[in-house]
Order: sequence, then C-alpha cells, then structure tokens
Amino acid sequence: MHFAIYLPVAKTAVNVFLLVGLGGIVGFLSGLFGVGGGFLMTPILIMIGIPPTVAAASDSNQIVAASASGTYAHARAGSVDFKMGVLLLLGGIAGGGAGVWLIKLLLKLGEANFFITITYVVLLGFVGTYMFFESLGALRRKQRPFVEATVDRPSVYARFMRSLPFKTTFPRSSVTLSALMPVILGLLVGVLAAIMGVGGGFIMLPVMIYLLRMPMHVVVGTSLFQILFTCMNVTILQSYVNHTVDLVLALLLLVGSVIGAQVGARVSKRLKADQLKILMAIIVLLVMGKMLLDLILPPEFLLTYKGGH
Amino acid sequence: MRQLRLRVRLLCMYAAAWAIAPGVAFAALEETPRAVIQLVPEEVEANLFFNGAKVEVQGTVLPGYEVAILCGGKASHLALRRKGKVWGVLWMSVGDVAFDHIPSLYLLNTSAPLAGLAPPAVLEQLGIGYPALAALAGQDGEEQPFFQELVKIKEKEGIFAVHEGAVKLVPGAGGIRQVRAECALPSTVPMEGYEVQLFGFKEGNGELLCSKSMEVTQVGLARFMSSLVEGRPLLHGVFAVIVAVAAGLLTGLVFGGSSKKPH
Repeated sequence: MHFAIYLPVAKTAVNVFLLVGLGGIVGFLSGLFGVGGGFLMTPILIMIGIPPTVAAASDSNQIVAASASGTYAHARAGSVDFKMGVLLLLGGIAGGGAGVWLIKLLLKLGEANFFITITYVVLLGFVGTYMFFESLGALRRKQRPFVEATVDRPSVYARFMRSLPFKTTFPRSSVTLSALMPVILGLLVGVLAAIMGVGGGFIMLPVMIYLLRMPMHVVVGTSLFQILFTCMNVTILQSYVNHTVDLVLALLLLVGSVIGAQVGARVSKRLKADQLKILMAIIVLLVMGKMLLDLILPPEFLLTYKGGH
Repeated sequence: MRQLRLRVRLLCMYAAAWAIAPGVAFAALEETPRAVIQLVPEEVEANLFFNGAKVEVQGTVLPGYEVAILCGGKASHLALRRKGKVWGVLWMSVGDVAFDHIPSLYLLNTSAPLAGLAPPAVLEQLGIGYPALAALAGQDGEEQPFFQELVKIKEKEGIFAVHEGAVKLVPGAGGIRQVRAECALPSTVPMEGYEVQLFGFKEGNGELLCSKSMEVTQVGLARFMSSLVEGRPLLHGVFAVIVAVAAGLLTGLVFGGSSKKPH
C-alpha cells in the first residue's frame, strides 16, 4: 500500500489519504447536523483493520477536534445556546455514569443485549420516521417553522413542562422552561448513549427539537458544544484507563474532519430549518437501517474481538 | 628382513585405515548439522512508515528431507465474543469463546503439501498445520467451527498463513539442498520476539532440525508514542485533547472570517 502510515497504538498500517478523506466526510456530517459521527466512523475504522477499542477511543479524540471546529463556527454565528448546553451536559455526564452501572445490571439478566438493541432500533425508527414525515409535510405546505407551530398546541407534555419548577429563559433558543428539563433529558440521553456505547448525538437532536423546542440552527451548534465536552472526557478516560487512544490515527482523521466540520457548518446555515430537519431524519433512519441490517444479515465472522461499539 | 618388517607395518597401517575410515566418515557426517538457517533481517524495525516486512529464510538441509518453516510467536489464552441467532432471526453476541495456546503469529511455509509430510499425529505433535493448532487450543470436536472462524479472522489480519509448497529446495554441492523461503510479516504483527523453526520430515517422521530468533520492535516516533501511551497515559490523554481542541479552533479561525448569522 502506497502512502501508508504505521499507527503505533493500533499497531497496523493504513493509507494516509483514506484516513484524511474519511475524516473529511464525517466532519462534514458533524458540522452539518451536530452529530459526532461515531456511528459511521467507528465501524469503518474497524472494517479497515483498526482494533475496535482503538477505533472507538481514537474516534472520540477526532470528534473533539471536529466538534471544537464546528462549535467555534456556530458560536461565531451566534447559534450555540451555552446555557442549555451546560445543563444538558451536566445531565449527560450523570446519565453516562448511571448507564455504565445500569448495563452491568442488565447484562446479569440474560438477554439484555438483545432488548437494548431492539429498543434502540425501534426508538430511532420511530423518531426518524416522525421527523421525516413531519418536515416533509411542513415543506409541502410551506408553513411556518415547526417550533412556532407546536408551541401553540396545548398538549399534555406542554402542560407538564409548564408545571415544573425552576423556570428560566434561554434567550439564545427563545424558550422559557424549567432548568430541570435539559438536565433530566440530558440524563436520559446519557444513559441511552452509555448503554449503546455510542455518543448519542442523533438521540440528542430530536430531544432538542421536539422536547426542548429549540430552533433548528441553535440545535446543531448546541449539540456540537455538548459533544465537544463529552468526547474530551471520553478521550482522557480511554487514554488513562485503556491506553487505546492512537494520536497518529486521531491526527490524520482530524486533519480532514476539522475542515469538513467548517464546510458542514456553512452548508447548515444555508439550509432552511425544514430542509435540515428532513436531512437529519434521513441520517437517523440510515443509522437505524444500518443497525437493523447488522442484526439481520449473517456476519462476516461468527466471532468478534471484545470492545468497541 | 628390515624391508619385510617395513612392508608388514605399512600393510597393517593400510588395513587399520580401512577399518576406521567408515567411522571417521560417519563422525564427519554427524558433525555436519542436518539443517542451518539464516534470517535476513534478524531484527525488524517498525517506524511510522512501517507497512509490514519480508523476512528471508535462507539455509541448507541434508538430502532426503522435506521441510516446514514456521515463524511463530508466543502462545496465549484468547477470549472472543461469539455471535449467534437470537429468536432465530437476529444476529447478536450470545456468549464468549475461549482458546488456549493461540500464537501471536503463525506463518507456516512447507516444501510439500502438509498431508505428504507426515501422518496427522506427527504433525499434531509438532504443532504443524491448523488441525494441530486446533488440538492445542482445545478446540476439536464440536467446537472446531469456532476455531475455523478464528483462523479466518487471523488470516484476514495477516497474522496466520499456511503456504504449502512455498519453501524452495534447490540441489547444491554434495547433495546438500539450499532452503529458500519468505515470511511476510503484516503491519499488524505484534512487537515482540519470534522463533523461526525449521522442521525436517523423512519417512513419515518429523523433528525440529534448527531454529533462529527474530525480533520485531518499534523505533523512532512510533516507539515514543507507544511508550507515552503505556508510561504516561493521563498525560497522553490530556495532550491528545489539547491537540484536538487547538486543531479545531485553529481551523475555525482560518475559516471563520466570513461567518454569517443564521437565518
């Protein structure tokens, strides 16, 4: 293989341009949608021969760079709600810890793995389909943006939100709600993300849109801000506990991803809210489809190494 | 009379020489090693541009032998996740499979098909061929399919390979044959010491004729990076995060000049 570089922690050689290009594509998605892209990057890295544990840990390191790049771009454009982001982050960190503990408990119950995966696939399928048709309808009708349309609707959920204490205003998102909401929702996403072993960006997006009722462009920037800190934490922990962060691998990926994230953030700003939402719905459905295919199609090998996503 | 004595003495010496000659010749033959090998190179260095390496095995073997050259690593216990169907539809991890004595590297080259070298029991005793490895790993009988899966994974990584007929035996002076083979180390080769062994097979029997050690080590920046990860993991993690954040912000600054407010 020409232009191959040896990765000292992964202990394998990989084509330099393949890594930079891969970083570019995933970084673009990250800047566009506000997701980390681990769901895409980690399996591809494993496919090209990186050990699963090193792939997942080094990808976290790369996401730090892409999300820092994306957060910076969105922050300059005023589309990061730092107040909401910090509250979500607090919940997310607590949820991550609870999720790790919960998974140990569930695994003792036997087929926990099966039920967790199925629940996740069903959840993604439901959320993705809802988002898709909701934004498709909005695009067809050329109505006002979703956020304004739904806030007026007096639903049980809206009444529940109004009844919660510690109300505060989030000027950047133009919403007033209980400070407990982002903490609780962040906690739930954190639990789910820890159980599934993925970053959880694409669960956080619908949560922000539908449950916190944040405007689309603030959603992307705030999601990136939260991902930045989550992945910083994961990278340091993975390096300290498991020694699985390959800096050479992460550097090559981030060369592509920081540029991709900038391009993605610019494209994101040019898209209309419903256009962006329908693309997000497609991404969520693609992730769901990939997980479903992984479950249904016979695997290449009947054995897998331990670790990874 | 004196001449007669001299002739008798010479005759005795001649007879004695004839008597001991086969023994001397045999001793000379015994001293000649039955096989010798050299490795080029004996030490493989992995820097940041390491993309696997080819190690040439050169040597000689006495006539009449077929040979197997094994480049093998340390054996250890290995546990993997086993995939199976849940509810008859979905493929998921359903448990663990453990293997004993799985070498970190197993590159086998032979001068003839494995079946023609020796009976299976002899090959198994010497650890030559996958069936022998399966027996060592405690994976025979019903568990054999999992061992075959492991071999498929390791072969894809380039860590396991069996090339029958890949050793060249070239006739040389005095009937001694030149041995030529190549061990293709993949870039995934673990950084450790290896043993290259030459086994000889004759008339259904087999034995280890000679071996040579080989070392694969990381050097330069690759070595520095792995020693940082192993020796100072927290510092490495913090450094990795700082580099990533700096790279992200720097790109943001470079690209950030024309940022517009969202609509």
